[in-house]
Amino acid sequence: MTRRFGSGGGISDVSLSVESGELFVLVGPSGCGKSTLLRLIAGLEYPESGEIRIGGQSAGDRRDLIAMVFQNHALYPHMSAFDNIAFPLRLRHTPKPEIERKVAEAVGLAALQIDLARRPPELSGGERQRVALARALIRQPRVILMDEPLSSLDAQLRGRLRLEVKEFQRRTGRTIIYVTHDQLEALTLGDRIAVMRAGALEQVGSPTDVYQHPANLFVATFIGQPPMNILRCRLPQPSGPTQTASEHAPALPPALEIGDKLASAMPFGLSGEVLLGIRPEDLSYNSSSDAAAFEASFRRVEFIGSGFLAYATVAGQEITAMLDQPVEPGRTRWLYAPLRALHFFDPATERRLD
Amino acid sequence: MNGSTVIRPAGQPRADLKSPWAALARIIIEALVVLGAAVPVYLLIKQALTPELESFAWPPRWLPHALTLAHLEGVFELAELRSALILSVAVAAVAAVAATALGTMLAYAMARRESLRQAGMAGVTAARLLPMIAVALPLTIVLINLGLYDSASGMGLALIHAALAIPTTALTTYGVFAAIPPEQEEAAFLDGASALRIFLAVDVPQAKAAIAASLVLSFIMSWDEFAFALLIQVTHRTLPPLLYYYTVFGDVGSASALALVMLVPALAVIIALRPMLKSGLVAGTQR
Amino acid sequence: MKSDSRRMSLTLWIFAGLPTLFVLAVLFAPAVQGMALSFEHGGAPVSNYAAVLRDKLFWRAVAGNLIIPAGSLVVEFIIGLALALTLSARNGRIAAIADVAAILPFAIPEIVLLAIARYIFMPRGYLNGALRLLGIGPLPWLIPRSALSFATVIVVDAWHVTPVVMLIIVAGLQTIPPELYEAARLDGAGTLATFRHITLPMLAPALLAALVLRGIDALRIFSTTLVLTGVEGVPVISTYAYHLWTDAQQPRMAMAASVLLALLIVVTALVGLLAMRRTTLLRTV
Repeated sequence: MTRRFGSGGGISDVSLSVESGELFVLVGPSGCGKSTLLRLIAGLEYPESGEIRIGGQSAGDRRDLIAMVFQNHALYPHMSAFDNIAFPLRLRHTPKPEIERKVAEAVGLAALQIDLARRPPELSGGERQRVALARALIRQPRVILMDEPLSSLDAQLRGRLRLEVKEFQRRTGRTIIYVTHDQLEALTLGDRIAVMRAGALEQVGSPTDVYQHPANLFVATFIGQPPMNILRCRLPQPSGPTQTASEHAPALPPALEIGDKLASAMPFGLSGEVLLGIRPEDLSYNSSSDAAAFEASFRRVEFIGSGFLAYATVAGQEITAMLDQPVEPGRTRWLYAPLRALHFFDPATERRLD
Repeated sequence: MNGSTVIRPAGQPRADLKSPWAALARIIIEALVVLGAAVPVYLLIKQALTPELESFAWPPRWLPHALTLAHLEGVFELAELRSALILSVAVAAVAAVAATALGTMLAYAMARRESLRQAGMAGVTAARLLPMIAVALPLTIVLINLGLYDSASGMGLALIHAALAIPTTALTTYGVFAAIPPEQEEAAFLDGASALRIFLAVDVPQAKAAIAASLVLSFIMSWDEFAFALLIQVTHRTLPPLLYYYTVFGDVGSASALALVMLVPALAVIIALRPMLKSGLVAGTQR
Repeated sequence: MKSDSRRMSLTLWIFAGLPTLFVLAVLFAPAVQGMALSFEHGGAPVSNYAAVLRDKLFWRAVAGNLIIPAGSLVVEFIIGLALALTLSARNGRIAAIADVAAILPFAIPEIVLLAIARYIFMPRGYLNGALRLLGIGPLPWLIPRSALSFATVIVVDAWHVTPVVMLIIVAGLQTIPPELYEAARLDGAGTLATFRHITLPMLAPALLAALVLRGIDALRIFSTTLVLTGVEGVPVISTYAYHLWTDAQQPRMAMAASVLLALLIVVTALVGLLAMRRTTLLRTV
């Protein structure tokens, strides 16, 4: 179990704890500080304040406890794969037979099937990352840190290796802290994920939590592809359910049949503007009793194999919707979203409103 | 390289090549260059391989009539020449090793820390500004006090040559170190290596070619060096001052043979190292 | 882990410090000592300098020290430029040979080159021998104090260094994007116009840098004049100081002269740097 507090190097006030045996993912856009945080954990950089603890103890020289797999594998190009993997053991003057045994072990764990006498420049991208993984595993660290290990690989390979990482973690039960900018990787890999932006944590939770209950606007739009639609809405006045549409902040759908339901669905009694979030996949043609209705005029529809991605306008704002049937561009149809799929955010703080 | 190592800035106007005048001009210039370089060397070889009389003829003969190996044999038989040869080799070897070791260390420090790089560059520039005469004269006093003046081992001279060559060796190896991604060192650090171990195990092996080039360059620089050798090694001479005295006071044949002995290794090395030279030349050559 | 970063810092400082101390001890410390020596005198500290400045030979040395580098630079750069332009515009085996030949003068050890030069230029040397066939009497190529001797020294010096200048210019030529030439050709520019408006201006930064560097080097000339014409022949400040030290047994005056030479070099370097900075060329010193 590791715990981190502190600030420095572009990160402000981060406090986090990771359970042992879990695959914990740090995800966020470039420059959000996720790599910096990882390096702080690794001990490659130092926090200005705060501390890092591993296994409940404040970690000083923690090189024995952690291992890291770098984005560009950082293998020694002049050494063979075997020597690369054996390097940590050689530093500790481990006897030769034991080195060979441990290297074989690590190679097996990393599912590496190459001639170990070859050198990194002769290997493919995937093979190099496996060698890097084996080198990290050979010291049997308590925590394995991975800094975007798959981002320099092509998409197909990435998908495959992603699966292997997950299975590896499940099989061996190691604690892994994984950094990525790809939200899909975060969702598929993580037992828990932490979304970061500009040096701060935006939300920490299980993938389902983060996906279904995003804590703020940033998390809502960062997680999920295509991104969540955000509509600016004007709340009905307390006096009545009548809505007025203005050019800047169009009202909620004027369909009266849901106006009350919507109003009651909102647990607050505020007036003014609110931000409404709906995921494209939550929109459909099916109306039901507890669905919000939106009148959408369609601009463009793209066929993406598994369905249709529709670009439309609702009350003057652009949205996207994932539909199973196409619509002719230029037509107007009603789309529906179940009430439970609606997310509300405060326009001022961007936080979720519950 | 496709057989020819000629440098080509792609895009020189093609019109040039088609004009016959331009082509003629080019041929003439190239011929002059070849002549300008080859003729002096030819003359030297000729003088070394022909008997004395020919070289003292007036007007001097351009083409040899008789060949002899006497001069070359003389070079290797005369004790003075032999010891000069050995001394030159010894001094150059020591200077090369010292300059490369120190220069590599400096280059590494410069590559890893920006402040050191700037300081290093400033130092290199300052060293180039020094007129050697300003250094040589007081240096002889220092060496006399240390007992290294005009020594049989030539180590005083070797130290000077090492110091002179350090800018060159540092600049030659700097590029390689700067190109090594820091993540490799970080990985080694996480694996548990000390700073020195990282340098020796990760950085130096990747710089092998540059280090070899440094060794050779500094060897040749010491081998060729004349001014300090003249001032410091007055009785126990290395080859360059010896050649000077033979040229001024001695016979043509021996002098030429000696020059040939000096010339051949230097030439072979420089020609072989041509690509590497282009960066080192601008940086480290001093008069 | 902070201690590890400190240990790394320490290692780096040692790595930088050892070589620096070595060079300081071997080169700079004696230079400083020499400077101190130049101020030693029974009377006023500057009397050594006064003595040097009164010496006619010194002023002749200054003249030589300015004429020869200037002449050498002119020759080097014109020929170097010509060589760079012609050698780089063609492929083929002939050019490869010329490429090697061009670098030859630099590859030859300086003393060997000077020895050869002596044999060529001496009164009964090859050059006069060849001229004799044309009916021209022997010329005083290396006779001390003759105007021709200056020319000879300039030629030999330039001959030795031109390969370096050529390489620098070639490197500079390669940085010119080829599209510029194509655009110029489409605009109808001939060879000369292209050279004047594209090649030369784009080359100017590299040329200036090379000029400053070679100029500073040229001021330190020593062995060339020593070997070719002797100490008294074509004097430059280095040989003048050498003469004071060895023959005239005046070490303090010799040091004074050396310091003055160093001053000249530093001033030239500063002027050069200023000129380069003016044209915003200086990236890294």
